[in-house]
Amino acid sequence: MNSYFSLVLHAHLPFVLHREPDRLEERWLFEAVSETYIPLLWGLESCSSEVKYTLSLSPPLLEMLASNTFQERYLAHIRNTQELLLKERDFVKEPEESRVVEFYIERFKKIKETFLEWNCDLISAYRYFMTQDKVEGITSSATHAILPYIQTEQGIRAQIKDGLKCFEHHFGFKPDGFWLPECAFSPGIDKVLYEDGVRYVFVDEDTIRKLDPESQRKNTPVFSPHGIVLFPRCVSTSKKVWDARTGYPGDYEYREFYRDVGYGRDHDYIAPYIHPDGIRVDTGLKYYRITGDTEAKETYIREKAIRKAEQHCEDFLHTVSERIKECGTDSASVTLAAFDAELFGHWWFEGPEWLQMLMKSEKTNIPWITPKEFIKRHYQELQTHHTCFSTWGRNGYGEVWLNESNAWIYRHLHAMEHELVKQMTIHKNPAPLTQRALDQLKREWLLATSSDWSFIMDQQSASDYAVSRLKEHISVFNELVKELNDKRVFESDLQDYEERYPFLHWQKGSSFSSRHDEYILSKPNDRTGEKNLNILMLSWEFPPMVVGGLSRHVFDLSRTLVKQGHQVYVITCAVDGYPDYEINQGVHVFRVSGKQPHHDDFYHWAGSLNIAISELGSQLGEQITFDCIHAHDWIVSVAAKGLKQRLKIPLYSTIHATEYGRNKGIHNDQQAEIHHKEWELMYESRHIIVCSEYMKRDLIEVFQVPRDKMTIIPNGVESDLFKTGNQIVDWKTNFGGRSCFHVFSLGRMVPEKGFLTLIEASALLKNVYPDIKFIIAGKGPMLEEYRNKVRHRGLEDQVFFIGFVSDEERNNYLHESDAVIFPSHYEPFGIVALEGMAAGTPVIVSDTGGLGDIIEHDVNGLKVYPGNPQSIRDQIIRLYKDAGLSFRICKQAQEDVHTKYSWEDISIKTGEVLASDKKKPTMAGVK
Amino acid sequence: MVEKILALKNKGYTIKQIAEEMDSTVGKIQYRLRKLQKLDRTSSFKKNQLPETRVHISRKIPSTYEMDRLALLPQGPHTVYAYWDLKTITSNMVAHHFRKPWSDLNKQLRVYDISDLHFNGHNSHWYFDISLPEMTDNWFINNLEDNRTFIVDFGIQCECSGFFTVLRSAPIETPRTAGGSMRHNEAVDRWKSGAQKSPEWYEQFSTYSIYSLLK
Repeated sequence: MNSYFSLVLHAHLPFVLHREPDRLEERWLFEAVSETYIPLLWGLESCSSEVKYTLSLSPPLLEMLASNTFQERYLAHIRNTQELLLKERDFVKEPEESRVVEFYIERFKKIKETFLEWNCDLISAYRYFMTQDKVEGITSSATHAILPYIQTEQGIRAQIKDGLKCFEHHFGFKPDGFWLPECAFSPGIDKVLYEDGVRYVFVDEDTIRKLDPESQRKNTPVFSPHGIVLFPRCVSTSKKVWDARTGYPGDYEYREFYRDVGYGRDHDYIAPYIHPDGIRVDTGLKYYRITGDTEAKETYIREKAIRKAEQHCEDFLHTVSERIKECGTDSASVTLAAFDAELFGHWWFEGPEWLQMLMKSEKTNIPWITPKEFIKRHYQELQTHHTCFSTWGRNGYGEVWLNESNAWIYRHLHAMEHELVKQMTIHKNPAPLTQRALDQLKREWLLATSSDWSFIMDQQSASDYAVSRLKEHISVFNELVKELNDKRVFESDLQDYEERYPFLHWQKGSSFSSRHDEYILSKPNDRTGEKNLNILMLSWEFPPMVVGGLSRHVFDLSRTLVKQGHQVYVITCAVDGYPDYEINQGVHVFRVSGKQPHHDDFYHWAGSLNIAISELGSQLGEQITFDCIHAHDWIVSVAAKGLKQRLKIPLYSTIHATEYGRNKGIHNDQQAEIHHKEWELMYESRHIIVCSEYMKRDLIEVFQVPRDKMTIIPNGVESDLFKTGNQIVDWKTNFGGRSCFHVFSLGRMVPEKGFLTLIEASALLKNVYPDIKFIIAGKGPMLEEYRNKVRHRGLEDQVFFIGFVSDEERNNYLHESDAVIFPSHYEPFGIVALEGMAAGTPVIVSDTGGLGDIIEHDVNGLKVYPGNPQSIRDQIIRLYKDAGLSFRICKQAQEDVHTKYSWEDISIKTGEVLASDKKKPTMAGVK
Repeated sequence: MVEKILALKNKGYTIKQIAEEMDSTVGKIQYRLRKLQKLDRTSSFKKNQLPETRVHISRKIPSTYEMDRLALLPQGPHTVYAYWDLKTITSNMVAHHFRKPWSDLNKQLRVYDISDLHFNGHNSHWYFDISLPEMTDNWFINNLEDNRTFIVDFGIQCECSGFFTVLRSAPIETPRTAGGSMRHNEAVDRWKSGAQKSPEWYEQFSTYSIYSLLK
């Protein structure tokens, strides 16, 4: 035999037990206790343990049943009902009605007896029947949340873990079955369930029809990918009971739900038994039967109803055995009927009796099994399937709990979830009061996530209570967060919040954080000394990404700042194959990419990058107290301004070049946008660093930057980098041989670098000094044009455009050439000139921009007029002829490199600028 | 019928008068009203109740949150619910980038079908845009295909016809329909055989980390 029948009841009510008495909603609980939870116990008492059903008791229900407040109020409620019944005995005249009153008198006596017999503790009663092996106890999520609509793994885990813990708290053991609220499953929930020891759950039959790969048998349980057994509810069988029109409960002999004496008596008479404010409510005394599709109801006749239940029991057993036969014996299957427990008794008054008959019936040989036992026998036969999001609700998915009427709640619930993670992460080892506040924070979130609220809102008509409860939990949550953030938790307020609902009060010391966050927080993050700075440096270029000189500059500056004892955190653009985070020579380097890393438009590509930079910068700022932001050039200006506002720290910027300078003016919209961004970056900056007097003049003229807002700190050169490497190739043999005079230049092949002038100069030299050779390295848009030019002029033996060279090759050229020359028309600084000087080779520059500032003619180098080939020719000839001149200017150049242009010197000066606004230590704790 | 009873009741009619008006009996009218009240019984009467707590509970809830997020929830195989929030810094930065007030920018949702792709921000099977009315912070995205993976961006329609992403959702898989298409068959096999450390399909939950970008 491998085809079985199984019955599962799920008992749940939202947590409606308020501290203040007489809330209308509290009566939901009283009604369910009298009509369902106690009658179910009667059934268990009278049955043998051969048949056994599975009963899920939700944590909110358990917590309410366990509460003294409930127990006292319920007892008072029963006494009140009994008092009413005595009045009714006199009031009712019809003999048939009197018999119903007597039935109720008897029944409520029994209800009270049972309640008192178990010492008002119904949980102990269910515990007893579990130990008697008459019922298999399982539970559900902590507050019956729709798990697929929780956003984080921590949230899911809390709902599952706390649900299981609550059950264990009340029953002394941990169940391995779990009722998914509303049978709502989605991929990933099973992982958390499995990790917390759950082995089986229940889903809708339709869920099994949507498996991938397909399953042929809709009554055979399957494994979810993470190893949870999914038991499908058999719809056709279950429908017999719950279907509003065709199900048993609608039978005319059964008790009518909507006729209650609470509404049928004069106000004065009934007043003591309804709500104190005079609101009429159900008393639980209903004297009529459904009768038919009529409003003229007839009196309820208990015996007839019970006989009907017997018939329905037989019908059900017949249906089940047919169903089992249909399933065959090819593979293990289970016809599983699953219901909300409150259907029995509360809605279908005779339900508990029907259930009792079902369990005691000797007329059939239906093989009952619990899901737990089924797994034990058949787990090896079950297949694994991908299972998609589904529920047992309307149309099989989420529309009951997510539609126009209730979708608004998720914004808040998810925000609470995130905040909870944050609060529990930042409060490590909290003081007792803080811990209490954190625990309460979690309770508010749990209570708010109950699926009942969205369910009630979906019903449209009666949603005020649900909306009010949600708003209450959200606002208290936010109030507590505020107190925690202000580090001012008021104990009296907190106690008041706690006492509103006696829910999970025994649970203390909740945890909700992520391992990753714990790891981050455990990392030492001390600054090295009082005077030192935490600098957040923004630059779109950083090695290995090298577009221009910016990359090298930021790298050299940041690592030498680190040598001075500062902490430098660079955020730059991601490069394929390079880590998101590394420590390079002491510099923390973070690489990020925008959400559109291949945007067609460079301007928007940069915007996208800025948003990513700011996102990371904000997060870093949560953990590190930065003293300042140091931004390099306009590309990072949006993030620089955003982070300045966000972190409330001063912004400094270094302006390396301007759009105006590059283009000799602003000629189109794109340039105007960039020009504006540059202006804005300077405007937002506390102070600006420029590399030369030239650049400073430029910013004053073009942007009207106040003179005293700028400091000139020249670019530096690392002289160590230019120590002679081992010469691998004798490159000179390719360019006329060792005896020739080699002039080297390099730069991007763009007009402003002045290489055209250089070609002209070589033409002037060709006939007189054919052994003067020009080697020009670098790539760029003009490269081919320059090469063509050389051919046209017949200068192939004089001028060599060699394209891209490696750093090592470049260093060799710089070292071994007889002169280096930079004929630029525009050069804000010209770090290459310094590199030439550092390499110990005479340097010739155009007297323009920063180049002109670095070189003092005839002292540490030679100058030429920009765009003037004759001038270039003259100075080269001077060097060619006068070895003494070469020696003298190189010596002075070396000295300058080691003093004025050393990175050590520069980083000290930069540090001074960045520290000029350092906040006082008394501001500790305030960002 | 119920509507008429309610309308009369609101006019101040007694039950008896209503019964007369509607040519019915008091019992029937009461029965109807009771049924209604049963549904409605929680909806009113709160004002007269005891003060609930000593601490004042405002029940005021924020309309927006200071966080950058675009969240998706599945409603069914063809509908996904999206809601979003923006930090002030982010909307400021976007406005700064475009050099226009935030309210002047055209907001859009871009819905990408990224089923079985490693999405890099540009390589979807296809996408469609939804122009958003100003002051909108949530949307039901309808007419989606079942059993597909989607990502949604909230962003700005550039004047030059491009799109600028501001927020991006996590991927979401629309559920299958009974008898509908399937695509995880082989992935399930690989997962079962232990060939994969984690499943190849999307699972809805990731661990939320406040320092997610830090290493």
